[in-house]
Amino acid sequence: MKEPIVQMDNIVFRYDRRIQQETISNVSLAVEEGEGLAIVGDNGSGKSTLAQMLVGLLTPQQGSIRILGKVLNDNTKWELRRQIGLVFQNPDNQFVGTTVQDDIAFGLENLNMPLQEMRKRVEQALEMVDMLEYRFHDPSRLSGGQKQRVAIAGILALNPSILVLDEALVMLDPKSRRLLLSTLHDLKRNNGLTIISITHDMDEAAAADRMVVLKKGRVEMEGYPSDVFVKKQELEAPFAERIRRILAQHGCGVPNKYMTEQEMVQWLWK
Amino acid sequence: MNKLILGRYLPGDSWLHDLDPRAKLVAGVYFILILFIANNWQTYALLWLFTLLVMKLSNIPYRVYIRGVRPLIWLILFTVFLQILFTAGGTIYIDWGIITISEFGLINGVYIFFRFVMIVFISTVVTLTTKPIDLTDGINALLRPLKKFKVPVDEWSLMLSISLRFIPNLLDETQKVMDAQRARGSEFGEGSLVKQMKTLVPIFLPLFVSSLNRAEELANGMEVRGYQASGTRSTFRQLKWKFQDTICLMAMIGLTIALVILRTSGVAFH
Ligand SMILES: Nc1ncnc2c1ncn2[C@@H]1O[C@H](COP(=O)(O)OP(=O)(O)OP(=O)(O)O)[C@@H](O)[C@H]1O
Ligand SMILES: [Mg+2]
Repeated sequence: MKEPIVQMDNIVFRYDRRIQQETISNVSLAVEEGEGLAIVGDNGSGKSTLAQMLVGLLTPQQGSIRILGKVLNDNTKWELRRQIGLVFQNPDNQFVGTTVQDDIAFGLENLNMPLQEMRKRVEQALEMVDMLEYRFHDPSRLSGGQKQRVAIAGILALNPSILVLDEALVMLDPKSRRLLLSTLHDLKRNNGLTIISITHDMDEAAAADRMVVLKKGRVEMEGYPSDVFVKKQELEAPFAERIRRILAQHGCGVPNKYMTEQEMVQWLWK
Repeated sequence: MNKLILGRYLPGDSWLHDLDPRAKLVAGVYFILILFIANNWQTYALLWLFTLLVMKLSNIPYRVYIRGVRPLIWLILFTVFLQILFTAGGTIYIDWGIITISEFGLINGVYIFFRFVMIVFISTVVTLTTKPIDLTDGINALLRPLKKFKVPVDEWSLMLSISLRFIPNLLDETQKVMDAQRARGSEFGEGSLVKQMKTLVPIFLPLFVSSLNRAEELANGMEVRGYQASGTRSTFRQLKWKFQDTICLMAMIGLTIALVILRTSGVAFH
């Protein structure tokens, strides 16, 4: 069997070593290549902390992280960061460039990429997030959703194998979000991009291949979204599941299993 | 904040806006140097003509430039005053011991005044017509030879460009904090000096803290995108030397020749 592209083993992390309470306690996770993993959990459950450890911004006090078969440490982090990209929760202070396209190019400049190639990548990345017409704008003067799209383009331009999104779509309007999700899905299918998406949007989580529920720094549940939503009723369920539960309450004889939106529509039409 | 003209950029599409920042920087510095060739009214008249023509070419109204000189007027007048008092020669109008006001003193004072004002005008032309980021790129390109002597030119210019990028954020934030303090009943610019200083503390403290946070987030963002201070980087923004840039430098040479011809040879004032 192939080794997972990301492998976290018994990770323990505390921001303040003097405090007993662990921010991340004994988390083990494996992500397969080309997989879409959703991570959900309450505020403060440690999702962003985990994301920052994945790119080597924070170092676990115990346990190890292996990415593409290599142990992540101070020596390998620069090399591995070419393969794993993180889009932060708050894009505001991430911008370096004074125009959108300069900012996208920043990561490419760091790779010492030739100009022609950079131009191509910048354009492609901006097209993917549908921001090409804003290429000469000042990123700090964009709307929240536009900023997030630029931040995502900045990482996509680097063409990573693994993309970590830390609530990177929260400010997008429904249409842009659908568009971007389908772009990401294409990248996943065609290029084998692995996506780890931290989200509070249960519809997005439901669309993932697998999901992990984090609670107080521990993995509370892990599995197919369909199973997780049925087992864990207090989770704000996706739209279709909410309908199913309401129908079940009213004794409409809906099947007692999770259904996608499509399945639900089909069942309703029968 | 709106009052400060020196160092600001006004977007436009004049011939000067279009010039390469390197050409503008070189011409600007060169102009300041050749000011010292002038030593009679013909040469000063020529320089004035040239300055006014350049200002005209920027398509920016003269009153903007005059506003630019205003904050410096006391400094200029003070220097002129000293010059008048301590230069001797020619007809003496007033004689109070060491303090004399002479013909040469007056003429010299006027020249010094002109020189100062022209320096301010020309530097204002450069900054008003050049985007800060282009200015940074221009300085970087001109200082490039220093890299041979291990001067970290690229790091400096990245630092400079990032600072420029954050100035608007900082100004916005200052306004926000001031508004927040006003809402809590603070009054700025009132009361004794000590009291005024005290009202400033609750502004600078939050600004300082938030700047630190900002810097940390920025550093994380840069690191994730592969920035290493020691690394070799390519550049996305390219400067392009055009024919008009050559014309600009030719004009400077022409001006120099004219000045040398018109200059009074031999003994003049100073
Ligand atoms: N820089 C920091 N220093 C100290 N403690 C921190 C720091 N960042 C986060 N924490 C703490 O660690 C815990 C986990 O934070 P984290 O940001 O990982 O949560 P999260 O799951 O991303 O939450 P959210 O859904 O709000 O984004 C929180 O209790 C938080 O207070
Ligand atoms: Mg978070």
